[in-house]
Amino acid sequence: MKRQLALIRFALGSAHRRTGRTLSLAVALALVTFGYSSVLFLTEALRSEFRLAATALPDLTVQSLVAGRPALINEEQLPAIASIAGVVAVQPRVWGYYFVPAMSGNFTVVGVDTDAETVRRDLSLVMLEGKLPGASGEVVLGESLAAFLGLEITDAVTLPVGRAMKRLELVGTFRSQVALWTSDVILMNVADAREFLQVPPGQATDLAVLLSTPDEASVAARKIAELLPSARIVDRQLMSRTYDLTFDTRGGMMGGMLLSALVSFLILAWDRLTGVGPGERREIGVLKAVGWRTGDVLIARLWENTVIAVYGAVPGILAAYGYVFLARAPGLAEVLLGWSSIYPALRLTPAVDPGQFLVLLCLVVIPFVAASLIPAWRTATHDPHGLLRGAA
Amino acid sequence: MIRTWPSPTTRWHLAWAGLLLAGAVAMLVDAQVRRAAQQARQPEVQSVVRLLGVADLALSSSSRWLRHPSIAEPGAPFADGPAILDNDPAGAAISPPRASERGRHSERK
Amino acid sequence: MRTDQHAMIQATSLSKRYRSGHVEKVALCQVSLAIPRAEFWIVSGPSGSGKTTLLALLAGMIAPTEGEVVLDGKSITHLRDHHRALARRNLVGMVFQEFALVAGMTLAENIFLPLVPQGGPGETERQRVRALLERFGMAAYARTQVERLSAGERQRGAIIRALVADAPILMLDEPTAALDTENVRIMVDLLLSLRAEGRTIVATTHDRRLTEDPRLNGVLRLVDGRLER
Ligand SMILES: Nc1ncnc2c1ncn2[C@@H]1O[C@H](COP(=O)(O)OP(=O)(O)OP(=O)(O)O)[C@@H](O)[C@H]1O
Ligand SMILES: [Mg+2]
Repeated sequence: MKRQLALIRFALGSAHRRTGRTLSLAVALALVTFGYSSVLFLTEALRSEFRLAATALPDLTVQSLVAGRPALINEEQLPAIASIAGVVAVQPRVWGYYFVPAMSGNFTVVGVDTDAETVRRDLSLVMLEGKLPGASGEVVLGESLAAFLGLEITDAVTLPVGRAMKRLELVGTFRSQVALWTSDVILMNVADAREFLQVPPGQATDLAVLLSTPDEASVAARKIAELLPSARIVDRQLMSRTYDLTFDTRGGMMGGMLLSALVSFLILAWDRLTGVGPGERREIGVLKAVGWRTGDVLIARLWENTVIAVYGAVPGILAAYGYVFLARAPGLAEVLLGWSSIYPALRLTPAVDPGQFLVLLCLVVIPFVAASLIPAWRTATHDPHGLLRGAA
Repeated sequence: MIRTWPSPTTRWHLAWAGLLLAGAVAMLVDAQVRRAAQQARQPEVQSVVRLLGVADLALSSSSRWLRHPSIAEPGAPFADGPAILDNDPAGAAISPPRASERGRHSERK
Repeated sequence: MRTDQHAMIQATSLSKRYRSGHVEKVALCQVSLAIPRAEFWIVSGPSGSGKTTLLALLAGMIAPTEGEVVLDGKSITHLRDHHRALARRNLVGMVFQEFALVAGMTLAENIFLPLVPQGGPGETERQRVRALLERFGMAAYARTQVERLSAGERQRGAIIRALVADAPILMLDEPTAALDTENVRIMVDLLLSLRAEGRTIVATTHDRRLTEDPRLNGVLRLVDGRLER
């Protein structure tokens, strides 16, 4: 213990003495850590946002395929599905996308049963202002979409539907807390949505199935598949996995780019960063000459490099945190999320906890320390006389 | 005379390490506070998901085509597995070429 | 060579060959010697004759190609690196020609360097170093960075470091190289006082002022890696 303390003190002194090496290493490590942590923080935050919502998703979504493509689904099998054991409710949903060429924006149109009690309760919870929609032509918009269209409450806009025009009146907007879900949404009653999306009566976009025991999703799915052989049935788990994969793919791509940058950086700077310069060789020679064992030299070196790595990595992580959660990741968010006409205000919640912080730290510190120990070990096994002469 | 503890060097290190520790603690506390705020907003989020039935966040490119993975086409080329849903049908960091939008425009007229 | 029961430093047919590439250089050839406890010996010889090599071998800084070194009755030649390091610290204090001080550290830090792996200086060591600094007239420089010291001051600092672990043997490589006549006299007086305390001292030099001092116990002459009698 006393020995370790003395070696740590010596290592701190060494880190201080070799200011140039310490600083350049710490800065380099901070940059690397910053890159990795930013990607990780952003993807993790998006995932945690998704997890928040996942439990509210329908257990199964049933959708029809025609010619291998998603198509409208017929409502005639509704009672048959509802009578399957374990199915609590089946709900035909009318929703879809609406592209406005003039604004090159693609909006999500959602039709809801504005008379249902549960819908009214949910709506009143998530609407910022205005009244609940009810009558034909009344819509609720996402905040950024309303701003994008330049609409205020009670304003109206006329949009083309096929050859006709449809007048929509803004009666309310969604709260910004749910902007991540609603920024591109136009919510209206089902009849309007059918008209808007040209969904004929008796058909729906898809069917949402609610189960009494979500664990039996696969059993229910098999039975539904027997009723509707051409349907595709998506369970919530698959959706979660798909979602995770989306950001794994993008995060992985970013990570890959960072990795190649990191590797080229290491190849270029390897010797300077982890190598043992002539001055350091001589110093190791002095230490061995005055009676240090190879192990002592290595432990001191290990402490020194650990200290440097921590000094670099922690600011890197902190900077990444500030960049992602305070500055909202300008630059990185675009790459990770993709291009869009409407960007919702990115309100991200960090998923970082002490455990994750430590893992992140170790991911940087351990490889670096291990890598830089090898050249030190190779030097330290030489005899002191040779090291001091500058030979060997 | 020879006693060197705590030397200016050590003091400098202690200060820097303390600063980093304080930063880390501040970060973790901030994260905890934000997570609590997120939990507090869970009822709203679940309401919205129940209303819209969407799985995806309305984030840029995906939301153009993919507010709901069930709408994505199965068997898209180059997917990670043949049985898996295409997880990124749009997936571009840059906007599509202008010409493609013009074509759409005239088609609609 | 007579095996002396009381020899502090004893070497038997030491040889050292350096190899660089295909060229082999014989730096030392069949050197045997025995130096009794509390004596002051000089190794002299022209440049390149192998003086530094001999000293490094005796101090366990390098391993001999052939032969054996016995310090205070213990062979250090067949020890592993680990134990040879301990022998370097506990048996031998070495003063290198260029003093081998670490730049950027204060003199005190340099002096205590040998003690770091065992947990730093204790009160005894601090006391000892304080006394040595006074005795060598270096008390004012303890907190000075070594690169600011003059060559003579650095040398005295290196000697104090060689004494910090209270090793019974002191070896010096060219201790008079940077000194004027007056300082050579001071240096020799100092070394003699250390001998009076019971330390065994070996120094290399090609300096006449040193080799001709009558108070030495003996002078060994090296020529081309061989001991001249
Ligand atoms: N590490 C080494 N590798 C190769 N050759 C070496 C090495 N060390 C010493 N030599 C050679 O061994 C011979 C003896 O060297 P050494 O340093 O012992 O001489 P020296 O008597 O101390 O000389 P000087 O008086 O100049 O200090 C020299 O010819 C030198 O070139
Ligand atoms: Mg020499």
